[in-house]
Amino acid sequence: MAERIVVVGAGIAGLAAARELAVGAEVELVERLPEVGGTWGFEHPLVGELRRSCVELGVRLTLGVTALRWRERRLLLVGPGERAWREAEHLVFAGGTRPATAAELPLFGARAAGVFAGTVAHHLLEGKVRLGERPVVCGDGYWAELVLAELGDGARATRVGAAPASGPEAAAWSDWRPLAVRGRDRVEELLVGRGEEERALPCDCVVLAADQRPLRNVDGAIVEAADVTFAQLCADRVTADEVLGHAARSIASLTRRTR
Amino acid sequence: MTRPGERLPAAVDVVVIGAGVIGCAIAAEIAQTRLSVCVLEAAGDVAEGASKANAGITSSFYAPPPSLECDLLNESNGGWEELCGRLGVPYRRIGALTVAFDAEGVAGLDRLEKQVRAAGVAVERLTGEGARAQEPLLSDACIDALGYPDEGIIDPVRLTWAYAELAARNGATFHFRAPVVGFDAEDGQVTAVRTDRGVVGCRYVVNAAGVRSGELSALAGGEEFEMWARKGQYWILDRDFGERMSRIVLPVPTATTRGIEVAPTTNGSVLLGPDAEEGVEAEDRGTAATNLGRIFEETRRLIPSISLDRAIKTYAGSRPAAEEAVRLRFDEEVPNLIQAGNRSTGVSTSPAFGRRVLALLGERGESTRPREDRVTHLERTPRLLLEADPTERRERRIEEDTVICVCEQVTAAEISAAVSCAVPARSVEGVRKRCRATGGRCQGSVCMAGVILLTANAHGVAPGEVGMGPGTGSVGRG
Repeated sequence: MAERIVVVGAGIAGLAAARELAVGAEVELVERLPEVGGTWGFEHPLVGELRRSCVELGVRLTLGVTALRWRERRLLLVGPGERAWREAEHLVFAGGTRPATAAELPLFGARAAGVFAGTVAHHLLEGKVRLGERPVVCGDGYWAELVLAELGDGARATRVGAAPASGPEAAAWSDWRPLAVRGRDRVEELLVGRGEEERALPCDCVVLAADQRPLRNVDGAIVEAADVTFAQLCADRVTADEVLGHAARSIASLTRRTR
Repeated sequence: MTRPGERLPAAVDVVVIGAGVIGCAIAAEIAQTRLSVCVLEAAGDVAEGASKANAGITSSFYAPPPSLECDLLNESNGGWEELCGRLGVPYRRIGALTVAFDAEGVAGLDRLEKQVRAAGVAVERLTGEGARAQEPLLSDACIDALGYPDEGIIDPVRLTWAYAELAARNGATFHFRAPVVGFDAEDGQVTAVRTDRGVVGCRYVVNAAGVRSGELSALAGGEEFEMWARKGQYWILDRDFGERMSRIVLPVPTATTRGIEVAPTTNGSVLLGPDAEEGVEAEDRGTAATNLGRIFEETRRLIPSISLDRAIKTYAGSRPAAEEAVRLRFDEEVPNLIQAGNRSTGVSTSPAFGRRVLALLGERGESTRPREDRVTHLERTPRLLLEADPTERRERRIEEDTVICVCEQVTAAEISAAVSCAVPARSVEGVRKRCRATGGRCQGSVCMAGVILLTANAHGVAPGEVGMGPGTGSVGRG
């Protein structure tokens, strides 16, 4: 009987993994959102192509359902109208990436309003919430770009840790790191550092979009294990093809085993 | 935070100042009688001071007998299962270990063991081996230990909210961002409490203002005493590590502090901390690399496998420090002012605090019999994270199957309950306090925008107006 594998996350990495594995295994692809594509969007040409291949190879698509726990080769799925334990020999987790949290950076200092993860800032700005007049955007990648695009030309964002190529304002703080938040009710300054040097940047909003980390939110599948493989490429600027290649490499030994 | 049009009551029997764990526990007891009660809080939510900085431990022992603190702990510690069951507060009696590494530590344990036995608290002396059998992650360097089987862990913020919610369901009113600015007095008795939002007439005042209670006592013409802030910082480590721990682990206490400990939480995570820093402002919630670095080193002596790549958050809070450990009596100057303050064991003594304040009112001839129609239980929104088998067949609303915070496994139903209860969340932090959403390993990267929208919808405000907490700062600006 073919090995049963569940792939969690239907962005390009998850779709690619599901397609590779479906040749020799019985594969189910679980996605939290009601459509495939993840951060790439379901209209991306590669997403469409991968989706068609998956369907042709018999991958079972389970959309709009959240994977929560992996225990003794059973995966807990919860979604409207569905709560189930799915039995499988192996879990491939392709849940995408997010910017580093304050603790991970690490960023210390005050607990002031106005400090947001890049993901959250993007959602709020999309919803036309004004986050500040003088934002500082830390980091240089997918989430930083999205946030800057939403902020538009009107807001003069100070960029910290962005490559000099990202624009003239970025160059000033390109090799600095965020150290601490200052302020009482709302952030007033971001303390940044480079070697022994420290500077305080006045601001009323800080967006943390630096240092991509893998999103890991299935209990029991937080770190690599005999029955868990991760396909998450953490880098600031990646192409769809790089993600595809990385996913294939991540699951290579699993692919060999199942074929 | 102030609801538009919300007014303070003209007069009540009892005004409680402070919506920390002690103030809320007292309000919960009083509200079950025929006495009317209102709670005035300077901050924007319950548990904004020391109760939030609490490590979430229900102590079985803290101070040697004879002492009021010891009595209050003994009166409280047997009842946690019943109380937490009734109020839906996560609680587990997991036990604690105080561990020694050298001859000096062993001598400290000898002294401690005598005190604990004198207090009538369950305790066992363990070898290093015996301690490691209880907590396999404990350092091999531990040579001697005291085990406290009756020590437990609790969600201290959820407890504070639950007391407040129970009080509110029984008719108590809560007023946030209502700092007390003065008192009216007649013949030496307080007749009204003044806030910058209005005046409340009263027959009794309970001073449960935590670190500000000295200041308020002086303002009321009561006893002079000093309370000051002792700041402590913490690391929170992921549930992935926390689930491997089975006991609270502490070093041998010194004369001034119980020490930096490793404490599993009811959410599955682990707290490392707190340190103790004086001479700070009560509002100072800042964290610093040096303090947190030291905390990490000290806790790694206890549990060597602790690793910061499992850190999900750092935070700081202030607990009140004072010469007198516990104040629980009528003031010597103002006869209708009750002093209700505790320097360190607020959560652990809160059940007894509530009952004893009610008894003090009884001594003055007030009827403290509970009403027949009082609410004693809080209905529970099923908490997905704690459901042993979430697939168990039963009828569910669609919100119960919609996961918003994936890391902490919080559903839309749980968030909805948090923003629409009697003492509702009005900020992102308020939601986190009540149901844990945004508090997990990704710190809201995935769900915070959703939490903000749900909170905004519940209160009929724009998303930008939702508070972030703990201060007055909101999500948006302009």
